[in-house]
Amino acid sequence: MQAAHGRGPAVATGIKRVHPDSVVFTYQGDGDLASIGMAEIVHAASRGENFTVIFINNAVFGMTQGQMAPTTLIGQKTTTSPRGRTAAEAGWPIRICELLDTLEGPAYIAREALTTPPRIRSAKKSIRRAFEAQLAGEGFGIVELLSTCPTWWGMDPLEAIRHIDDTMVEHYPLRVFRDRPAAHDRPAGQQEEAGSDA
Amino acid sequence: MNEERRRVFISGNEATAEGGIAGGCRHFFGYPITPQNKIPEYMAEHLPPIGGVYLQAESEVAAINMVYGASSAGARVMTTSSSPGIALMQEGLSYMLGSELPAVIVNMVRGGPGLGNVAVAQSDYWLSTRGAGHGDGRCITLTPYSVQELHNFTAGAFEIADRYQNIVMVLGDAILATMMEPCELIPRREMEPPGRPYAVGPHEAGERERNIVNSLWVDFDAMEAVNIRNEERYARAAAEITDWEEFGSDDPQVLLCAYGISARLCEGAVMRAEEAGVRLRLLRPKTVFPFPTVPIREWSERVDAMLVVELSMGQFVEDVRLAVEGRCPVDLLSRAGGNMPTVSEVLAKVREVAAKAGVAV
Ligand SMILES: Cc1ncc(C[n+]2csc(CCOP(=O)(O)OP(=O)(O)O)c2C)c(N)n1
Ligand SMILES: [Mg+2]
Repeated sequence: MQAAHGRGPAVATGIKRVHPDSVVFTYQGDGDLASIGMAEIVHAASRGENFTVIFINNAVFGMTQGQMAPTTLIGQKTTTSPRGRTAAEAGWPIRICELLDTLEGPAYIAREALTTPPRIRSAKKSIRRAFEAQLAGEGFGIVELLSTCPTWWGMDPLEAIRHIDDTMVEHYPLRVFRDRPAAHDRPAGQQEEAGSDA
Repeated sequence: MNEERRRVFISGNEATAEGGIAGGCRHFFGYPITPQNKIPEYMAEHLPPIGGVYLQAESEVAAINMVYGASSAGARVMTTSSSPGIALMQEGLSYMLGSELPAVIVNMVRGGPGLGNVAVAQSDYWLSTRGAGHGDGRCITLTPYSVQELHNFTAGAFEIADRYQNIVMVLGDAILATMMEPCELIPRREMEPPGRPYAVGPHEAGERERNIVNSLWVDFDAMEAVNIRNEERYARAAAEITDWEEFGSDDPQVLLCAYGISARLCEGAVMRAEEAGVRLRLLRPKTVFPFPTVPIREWSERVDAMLVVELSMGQFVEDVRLAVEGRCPVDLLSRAGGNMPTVSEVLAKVREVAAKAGVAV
């Protein structure tokens, strides 16, 4: 199912509410999720929607040919920040996991990097855990994956991997921010009461 | 201005961006979308060094509202996008029409509906000429058919927008956006100081009345007054800026009607008219709102038939039929999804249309 740019979490909400027993996930870039889709991701997370978000952060709009993203690092050159991103002109790069970590809704929030084999194994574990949270009905899970974009970073693939490990992780620390059932979860009896209000 | 005009070989996107700067625009707000990314990229490169503002918005919804804000503050402002992004801007367009504000919007149309594709299409004709979100407002819509016209029309759009205090939409497409042609550049016009009579912004106490930019009119008559004022604008624009070009036989049997890239194609058909054995003329609107109703109506009394060529399933053809009012048959040749008819296919259709209308071919 292909959603409009940024609207994945809203579309996934619709699907999950029709098929609560199906496994539902979105796959979103940083331009998609952190720029145009900021409202949808925040509200889906806040509602604790029981689906999983795979968030590919390569600090750039890749598909549209390398424009600045909200996640682009200060000083990073892109096709729309040709002299390097400055905070004065374009603000600071947004940390999505930290932002969503302020909300009660999410059950699982983690940031991983797709660089070395141990880091990739760790990323797999987080993805698995996020889906398990969904299967257990614990609610919203998001795994941010720092990923390379050699083409629009103007680097070869190895340089790009090193760039993540040396530079990107400084601004985007790798961490499991949250691993618990959603805060809105209540005992079954209370949930039924809440439902009868509607 | 008698500065020497520089002739360069550039893409439609670059010509459009430079056209904006030439027209005096120093404030650009946009969001990336193919096939027009070179426009914001050009603005990001060229505006800051000349004291202008380039800002990448977080979405098209934000971009058009930044345009709304900058326009209400009295600036010459523009944004550019392509079909799905223009769809998202409809709310902002409607608010600007309700607030009677000028702005220039460029749509490099791509295939749709939905995410569609990034290929050539003309399927946002209604979106431009009828769209602008909800309510009674309309966008003045210009239809360039070359890189040079993209440049000139974009530069000139600011004057039109200011003159009518209305949005001007420049309707390009994926081919015009990306193809390269020689283009004579209009010298860059200086930025106008943002002191429009209707604009909000700093002023000395007592210097003028406080301006209020607003599109909320609870009072029925006040709301209707806006609608009437807008209609008067459109009537004035129809009398003053309706523009089109004609090419071909002075005594045509069939009139081709096409705009933008389709008109480019139809020029080729007119040049090869003998192959169809039909006397052929092309009428190509350079404005589609206001629409060249008068010349089309006049031709409808003299030709045996008209053929509309457009890259959508039949949007522009409706305006042609409204102008013709049944006085002659109006047929349609349409392709979509990034496809274009060939000149030979246009000529084959011309023969068919002519034969149906009783022209001996
Ligand atoms: C409404 C709308 N605006 C703009 C676009 C163009 N667009 C397609 S993908 C994209 C962003 C790509 O960046 P990102 O989400 O980070 O994904 P990446 O390609 O980097 O993986 C944009 C702006 C669109 N499809 N729809
Ligand atoms: Mg990206």
